[in-house]
Amino acid sequence: MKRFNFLSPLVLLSLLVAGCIGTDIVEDIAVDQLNISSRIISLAIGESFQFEADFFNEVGVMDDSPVSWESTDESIVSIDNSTGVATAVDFGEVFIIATANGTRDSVELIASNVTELGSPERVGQFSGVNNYSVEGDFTLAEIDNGLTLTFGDNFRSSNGPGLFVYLSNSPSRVNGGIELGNLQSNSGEQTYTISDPNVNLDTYNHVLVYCKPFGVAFGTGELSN
Amino acid sequence: MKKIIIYTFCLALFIPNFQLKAGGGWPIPKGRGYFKLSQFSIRSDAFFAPSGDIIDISTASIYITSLYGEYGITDRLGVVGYMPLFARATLNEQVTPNGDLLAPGDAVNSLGDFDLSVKYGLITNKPIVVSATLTFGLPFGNDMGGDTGVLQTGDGELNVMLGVEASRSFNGGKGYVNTLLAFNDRSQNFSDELRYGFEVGHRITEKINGAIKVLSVNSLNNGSDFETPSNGIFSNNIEYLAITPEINYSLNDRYGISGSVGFAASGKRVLASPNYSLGVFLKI
Repeated sequence: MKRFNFLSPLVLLSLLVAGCIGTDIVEDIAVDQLNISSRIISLAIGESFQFEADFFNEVGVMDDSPVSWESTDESIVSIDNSTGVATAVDFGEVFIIATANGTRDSVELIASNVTELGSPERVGQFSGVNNYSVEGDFTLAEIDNGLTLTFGDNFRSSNGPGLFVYLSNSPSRVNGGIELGNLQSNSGEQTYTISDPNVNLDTYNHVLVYCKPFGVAFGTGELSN
Repeated sequence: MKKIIIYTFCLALFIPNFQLKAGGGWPIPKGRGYFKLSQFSIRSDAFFAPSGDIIDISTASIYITSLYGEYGITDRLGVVGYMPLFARATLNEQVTPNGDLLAPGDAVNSLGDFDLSVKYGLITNKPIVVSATLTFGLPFGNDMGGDTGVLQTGDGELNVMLGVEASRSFNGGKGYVNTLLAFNDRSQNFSDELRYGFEVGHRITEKINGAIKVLSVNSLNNGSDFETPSNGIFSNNIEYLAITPEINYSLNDRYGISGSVGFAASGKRVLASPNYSLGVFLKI
């Protein structure tokens, strides 16, 4: 009986501290960002092209904030301020500038004899974050009705709990990004399909290997071109 | 202000019997024993990344109810066991400020990884006593627990650790110093570890003893992060320098209460918050 009395407080303490699952409120503040998502290199004189842009707000979420458009030289390429429809007027080079909520993005456009669209794919290379090992190449490419993200056969990642693949506009956070699914394998070639019609080649600029349960980036890579 | 951090639950899970203890280099006399029932807890939203930097993570917790025991078979040979009889790991749910669920919470309850050791007194009749301990780490815990499969109450690997402890008393036996050197041979592509530490303890009053324990765990980085079977960010190449003050209060000749708070000055791949331990012990 005496021994039981000794153990009882410990057992009670165990019950008290045997924790319930709590709640973390995630306040992931990002910087407003605007990405021109149209891929065009040159526009033939007399032809028109519809520019589009995606605005991401302070929490990294895409919203429908109005975008205004301008050309650095309306005599070469004119553009409708509200619709983003550009028309090549004369030979030369301009920058098309998009603005929304004080943020801006720009792309170069050549007015010439031919219309040439940009590459239908973007590439990048992983590097580890916080000294986790993630390496290898990846390619984001347009396909019919969507995109595919393909990791090269040189891809390798540290093992980790609950690793997911994301497209994001932050090199270390995934808030406002799009989750592509569980990391299929920690090495070798693998492909992820994106069928969301709101996501195109230039909507996001980073690929992340991310430990979703613990909220930790393992690896990141920037999409170039 | 530099944050003073704490070592992770891994410390409690995987190496508790090499937290230096009063036994130290002294072998357990024949027929004598020391047993302790403890409750350990850690809860943290910070983590020592592999770079050593502290990063924010989803709040993770672990609670362990364990039984620790030493018993002398002969005056030189004893057995030591650490048995985490109940281990609970939790992960907080993640919500936006608007209350939208980002990720559900999770929990797992199971046994933890057991450690069973044989301790032998190499030098017993000198001012400095030395003993060697061979420990087998038995993976009874869960290394892929919970609905998410990411919670761990063990690392999933069998390890063998050989340690040598040297000790001496001072101030007429009121104080003692222990030192430790140990090599932990881990399996399944986990890196081996070199551990060293020391402990200084002293009687404060007739019933109260205090001690400060310092333990350094260092990975030899000879495993593979790519090939370890466990999916835990806590499992491989763990490193830390832990500082643990401990107070023991003797209720009588046989029973007492022990409490400690663990802090870590540095670490890699470990939770970065204080851990707390409270237990009752029995000496026979």
